[in-house]
Amino acid sequence: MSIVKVDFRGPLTRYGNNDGSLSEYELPADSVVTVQDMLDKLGVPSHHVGLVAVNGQKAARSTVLKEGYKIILFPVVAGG
Amino acid sequence: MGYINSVLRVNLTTGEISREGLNRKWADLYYGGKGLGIKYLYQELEPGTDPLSDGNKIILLTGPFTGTIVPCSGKLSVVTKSPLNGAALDCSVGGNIAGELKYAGYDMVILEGKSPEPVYLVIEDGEASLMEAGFLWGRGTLDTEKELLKLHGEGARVLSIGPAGENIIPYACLTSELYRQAGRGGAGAVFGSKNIKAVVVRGTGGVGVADMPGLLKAAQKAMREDLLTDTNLWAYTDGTPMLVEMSQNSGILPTRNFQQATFEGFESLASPSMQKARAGKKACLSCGLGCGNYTVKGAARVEGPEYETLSIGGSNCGIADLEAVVKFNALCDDLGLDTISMGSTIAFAMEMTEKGIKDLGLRFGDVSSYLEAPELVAFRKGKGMELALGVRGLSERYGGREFAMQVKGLEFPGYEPRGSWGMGLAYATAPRGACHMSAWPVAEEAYGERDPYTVEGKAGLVADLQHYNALKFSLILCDFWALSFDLMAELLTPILGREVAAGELELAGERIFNLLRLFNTREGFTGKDDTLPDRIFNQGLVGGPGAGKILPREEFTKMLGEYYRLRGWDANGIPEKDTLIRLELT
Repeated sequence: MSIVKVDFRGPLTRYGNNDGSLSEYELPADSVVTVQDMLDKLGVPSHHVGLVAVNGQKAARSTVLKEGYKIILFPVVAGG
Repeated sequence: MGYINSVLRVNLTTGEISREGLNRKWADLYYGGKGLGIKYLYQELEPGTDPLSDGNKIILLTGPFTGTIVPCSGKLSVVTKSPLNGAALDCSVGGNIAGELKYAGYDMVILEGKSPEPVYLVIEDGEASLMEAGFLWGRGTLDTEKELLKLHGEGARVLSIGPAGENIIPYACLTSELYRQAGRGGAGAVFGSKNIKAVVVRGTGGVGVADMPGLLKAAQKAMREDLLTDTNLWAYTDGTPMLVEMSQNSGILPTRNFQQATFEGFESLASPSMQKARAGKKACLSCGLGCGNYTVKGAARVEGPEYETLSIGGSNCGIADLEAVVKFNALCDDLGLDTISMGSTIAFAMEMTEKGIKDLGLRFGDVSSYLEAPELVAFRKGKGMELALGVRGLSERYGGREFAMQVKGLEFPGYEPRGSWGMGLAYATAPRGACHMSAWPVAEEAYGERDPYTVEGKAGLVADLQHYNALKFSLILCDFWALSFDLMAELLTPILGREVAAGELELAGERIFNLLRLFNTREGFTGKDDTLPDRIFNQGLVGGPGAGKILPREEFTKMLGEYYRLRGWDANGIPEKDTLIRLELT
């Protein structure tokens, strides 16, 4: 079973575990899963997601996920 | 409606205090805050005025939203000529004092001249007077504010300077409600040069609007459908500390005087660490977001630190100790110093030591010398005399210009331009120098999906954002609310009692930005000042997704040229006549 860990920041935490721990997402076998695929599956509205970090670095929505990856989803921000 | 139509003018030299009508023609073109302030300053200031002389003026402004139920409209705007660089300076401070000023019967206050003795100004329901302030001189902002509230009642609001302003440190700030600052560019030094320690405001009046039912409806809709949604609520759940981890992951977290773009100790400064140390929340007048975080860490406490302090006063100084950064923030607030310029200056001094140029006793990561610096600067003691020069001044005296991280004399805030090329253009062209409040393209580049390592499309992006912020800070609305021009127009229409179009607001933003350019051009700034330190052009980034990246000089020059053309400015960055006519600036 291939698992990735997902962490949420800001208002997006409502899509994670209530206790604030890392959520786990199981990658379906025999198919390529991107960040965007995972967002859709978890029901996180894409337009509310800003930066996506995979293993500590900015990633694209098209980044392909692999076993053991750690993903952080940040909300869209404004200001300065 | 929306305005009180009343301006308080205080001549500190003679002690004369007068009331005059608001210039409505200017208010129609510039609205309030930043825009209206620069219009008054441009008209009233003699070109070439020494910012620290009695000829300079400092203007405190509200806007048409201030004091109404429009959310996020609590900020006070401050406009003057900067003592740090001689450019037009506008900055703003949160809290409640802006609303209080309008409730006291004024849209704005113009302070001019220079008092022979330390004074503070009291405004209470239309009446204003100057009071002797000798007993407050030398005291920190926390103590000053508490003392003034004892004298004038807990309901009053205070804007004050600390010892740094009194001692005319060019990056001294103004403080309100203990921990809120009009931070950048040295407004506190202008107060100090005029011998004015504080402004105390108490008002019990109101603000008239043309269509109250219409405003209630528009404000309620804006709150429900826009403000209090996942687009903005990061400001409440985390506030700006969330940007630490975002900058780290996207490779723009300033580290060791911008030598690196990621910091090995970032986790101790990031939002999860800040949340563990959170002791409470705070919001400004009329705000539905409440971005302020009270933090207690060990023996240190402050409202903050915001991202700019965590990055520039933390990673950029090689400090991974949250308690130390909280202490640094509290010290700067009380002494009345801008944490960004102070932190940047310390980081520059640390690299000067590292490079063997000059040793002012500061080392990357050394907490004890880092925490000693603010007081030495504020009181101009020992090495504080040198650090008070700021980054540009130090580099001119000792060298190291290629890594002096400043533009037009204003030190860099917390975003690495090699990892966000549009931000480089924003720093280079912001009227007050390296500034994150003029435009913030990092949201789309480093934190968004737009390619940060290209100049394609960035000239237009930065110009549009500059218009947007110029208008937003004139109305005055908080930068954390990402609302559209359409929504701003919907909220302004019932206040003014006339149909306001989004296009009219966008054009006003462009007008305000161009007027700032005219001010700076009149003061001798040219296109040659629209540049960046050599490090950005020559030295590859260390660490993170942008490792090895520079912002190539020829690409920057191309982007700047396109920006001038888009703006209708000539090759030297001077607005063309047609542009001035189109913007009603002739």
